[in-house]
Amino acid sequence: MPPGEEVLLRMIEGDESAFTSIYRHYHPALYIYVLRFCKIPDLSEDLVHDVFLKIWEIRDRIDPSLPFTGYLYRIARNHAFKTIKKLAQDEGLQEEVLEHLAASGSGLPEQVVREKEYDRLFREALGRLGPQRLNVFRLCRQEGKSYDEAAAILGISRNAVKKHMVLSMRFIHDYIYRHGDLLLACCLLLKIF
Amino acid sequence: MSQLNGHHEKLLQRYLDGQCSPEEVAELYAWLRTSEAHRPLLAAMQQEFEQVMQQPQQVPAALSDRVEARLMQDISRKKVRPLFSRYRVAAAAVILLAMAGGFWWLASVSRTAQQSLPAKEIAAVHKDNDVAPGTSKAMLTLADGSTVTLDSAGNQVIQQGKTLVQQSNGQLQYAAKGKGEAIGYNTLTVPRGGQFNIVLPDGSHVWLNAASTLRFPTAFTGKQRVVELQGQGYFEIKKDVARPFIVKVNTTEVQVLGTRFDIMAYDDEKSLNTTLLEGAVRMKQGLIQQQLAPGQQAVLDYNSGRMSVRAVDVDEVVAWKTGFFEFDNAAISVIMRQLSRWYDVEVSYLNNNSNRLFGGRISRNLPLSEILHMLEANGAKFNLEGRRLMVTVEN
Repeated sequence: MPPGEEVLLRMIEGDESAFTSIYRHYHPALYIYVLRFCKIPDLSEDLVHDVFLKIWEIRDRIDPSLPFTGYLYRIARNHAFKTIKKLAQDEGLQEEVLEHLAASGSGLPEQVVREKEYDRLFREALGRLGPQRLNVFRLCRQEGKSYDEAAAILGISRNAVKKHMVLSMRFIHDYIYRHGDLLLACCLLLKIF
Repeated sequence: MSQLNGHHEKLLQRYLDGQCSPEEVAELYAWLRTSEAHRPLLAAMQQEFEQVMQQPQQVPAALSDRVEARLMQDISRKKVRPLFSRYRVAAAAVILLAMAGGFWWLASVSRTAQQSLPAKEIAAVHKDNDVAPGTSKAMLTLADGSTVTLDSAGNQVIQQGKTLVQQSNGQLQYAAKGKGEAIGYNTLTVPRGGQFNIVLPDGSHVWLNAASTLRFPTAFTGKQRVVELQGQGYFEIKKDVARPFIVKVNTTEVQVLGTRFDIMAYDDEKSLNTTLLEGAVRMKQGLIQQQLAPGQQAVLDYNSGRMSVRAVDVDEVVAWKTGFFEFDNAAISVIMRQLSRWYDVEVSYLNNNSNRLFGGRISRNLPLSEILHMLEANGAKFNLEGRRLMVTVEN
């Protein structure tokens, strides 16, 4: 189910948790879309990031009565268009494209291992979050509550919820980066935040 | 749904499906570099989007979380203040302004009505000392050095040799009658607080923003059509492959075949920006040159002399031409420079060390006070004395 108009309205008003639910719903398709044109996974991942950041930045101009996918399309297309033009110009990038095209046929088992390892490390990292932070994480991330809802349930401020979320996501990534095996480390190496 | 036909279109489809050999990729990319690929590529991009969106897709959880974490950090760090956020809440004011000049988020009136501010409160601000928006006005300097004043209500015909110049309201139209005319140069000067548009002898149409000049011949007789610009102009150039159109800005040249684009070249800005809406242009400065695709902007930084190309929101760039100010993550200084030119006010800052950003869209036909009020609702303060505007931005 795509996020309803209510979620869209909350995002337009600047609610970060609504933005996150919109991100979660649309990003897989968006990633697949830009990857089809750009072929390089890291590049496509950056594009997905850029597209959603742009959505957030222009949220004030979004008309909730129009289909949200229209906005997504316009922005994603512009980003992907620009990138594919760049690929066509840049020889270095073209070599990368060819590498990824050659590898894409055989990449599946590796992907599965990576995913399993990632899940294991993710659960380990969760176990190391403080109890309150874990509560916040469970409510927002696993039960899909908005920051406001989570704040009400836990009797803490919305700002505190937000801070817990930012810090827990960051902690989990640092943890996986530090403890992941070589394969995973390679996969994460390019993105340290 | 249209299928992709033709050799290159099929190649593109194979590429999307990951079935191209290296040779085919090279061939496809060579094609993509041409403008001919533009339309089919866009068609494919739309078709692909529809297809991808139709079915649920899966991506690695690691990727999802990575991007999500980055986004969360970005949006919690970067607080962009919407210029008009309080106005979106003020339903009464929104209606008032919408009538005054077309307001972007009229659609949001009903759902935010519960928090409305009284319209009177807004109308009262700066009432005793306000500045009216700019109007259509300009001065035309003829080849013999004489000048003609043009204002928004004027209708006149000026004869210069065999060239007829017709003014109707805010527009000037050139028509060359007969050939063999010795060419003279005319200059259209738009003052601060003004705007004007002109149809050149070849049928090309140029809109000039406030504080801008355009120098052009009364007839285009050579192998090139050359005009000189200062300030900001939006161009719609009549296609003529045999005679390229060239806009000169000091030592920079923008070369055109037939197209729509905007050049912003004010001395008090940090860079010269050429933005392409349609067609193709090339911006040249000495030995450096950049070709632009639609949606791209070439930026020549005055300080470093470096030229770069970036993708921009073209609607925002040419908003002035359609009668709007539009900003996206703009510093107060960027906004104030535009206001200063359009309302012809002198801007100074009491403190401007805030890195607060503003965004929004609003009609240029409103009095200055309305615009200032919106900025004030978002942490800027103003003191207007005559045409001197003091600005303070809170952190």
